[in-house]
Amino acid sequence: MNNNPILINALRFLGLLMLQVLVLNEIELHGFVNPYIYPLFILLLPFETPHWLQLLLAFAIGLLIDIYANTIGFHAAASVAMAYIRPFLMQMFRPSGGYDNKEHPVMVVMGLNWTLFYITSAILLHHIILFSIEAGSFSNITGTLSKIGLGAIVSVFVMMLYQFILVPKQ
Amino acid sequence: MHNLLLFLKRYNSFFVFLFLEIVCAFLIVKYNHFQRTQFLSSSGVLTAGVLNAKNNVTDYFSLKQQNQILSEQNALLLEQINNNKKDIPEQEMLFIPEPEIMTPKKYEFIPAKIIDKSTLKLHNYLTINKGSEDGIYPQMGVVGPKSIAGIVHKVSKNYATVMSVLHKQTHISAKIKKNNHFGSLTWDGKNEFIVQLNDVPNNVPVQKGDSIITSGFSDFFPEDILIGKVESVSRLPGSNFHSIEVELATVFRNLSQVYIINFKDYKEIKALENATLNE
Repeated sequence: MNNNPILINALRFLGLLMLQVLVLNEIELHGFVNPYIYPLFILLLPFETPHWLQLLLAFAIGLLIDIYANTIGFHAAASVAMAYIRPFLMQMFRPSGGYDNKEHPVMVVMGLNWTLFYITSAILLHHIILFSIEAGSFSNITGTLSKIGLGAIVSVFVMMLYQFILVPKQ
Repeated sequence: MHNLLLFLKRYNSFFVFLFLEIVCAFLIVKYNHFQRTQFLSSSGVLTAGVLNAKNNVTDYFSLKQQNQILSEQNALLLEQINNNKKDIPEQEMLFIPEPEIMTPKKYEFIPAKIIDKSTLKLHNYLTINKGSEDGIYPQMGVVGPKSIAGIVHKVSKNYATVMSVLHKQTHISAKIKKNNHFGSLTWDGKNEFIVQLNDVPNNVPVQKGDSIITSGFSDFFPEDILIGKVESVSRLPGSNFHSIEVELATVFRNLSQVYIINFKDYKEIKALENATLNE
């Protein structure tokens, strides 16, 4: 398998997009919890990716998801915000040895704990923004909060599953 | 310029972020009906609140003008009522006459504002802000919003004084609404809310609460304008007439807007009467 990061990420972009649109969007646990996996594409971009490129890619994948789900702008806004805080999260969860010699923030490289913290905080932000926009008001705040909480748990679970199964050992 | 470029370069990702989020916000509002209506309605709440606050302030500036408009409108309505009332027979008409024929303009109501008044003297007058320039001449009837107010006394170019109903020399022809018996209305100068109806014979049934209206016999007022309600009825010993106290519908203390009744045929009638007297 070719180790070219551009190719890997391009494939991941398409793969996660299709997985989200074709499979996960059809899943609605308890009628309202919908797992999201496409943000993982941004979260797994290499450390060295320029920040502006991360933002643009986040916008692109979010907008594509929006087009399929008829929610123009929701996912784009949430994933752009998530992409924006990604470097700050990395700074926050910086391991003692730093990120030297590491290319990809994947679980096989970074370990389970780091990945769990990193993904959970990013997804929480993503879901908070996404469902706040969707609700459009504060009238049903408990409903919105439960959507955020349950949705984040399910999404993080799906993402961890993906990393266990599909991210190859380097 | 150099510093600006450095600044932009340093924070380039923030500006990209900002730009993309603005695009997202634009897309959300443009393409999603619910969010759009929420957005518009909340901004609607904002605009409505601001406009309301503004109106609360500016309303006071136009109050005078609004009052003027309203009173003119009222004058028009009163005019229509009083012009139509007597011209439409109660039985069916054989044909519908032309509006011109149906409503010859007998009465015209001119709105005016009271600029000064007294209610506590024995000879009370109102001063109004309409005068000969507005077509006011002495002996015109003046009504308030609820009932009669007085008769024009003296007229200057822009102002006029009105002899209030509360005047010792007032004599107004009135009748009891329910049985059309006539009497003469005077004021004894004791109570600003009560006037007296004289010359109603003892055999005429009168009860408390009966409406007293204008008779139409005087030249001042059209027929059927409310004056007030009977407050009490008593019989003086040795008299053949009721002593009727009438509570005025007009509260002179609160009166500020009046209408002067222009009786179109007044001059013709007066000329005829004078000619008769001089014979």
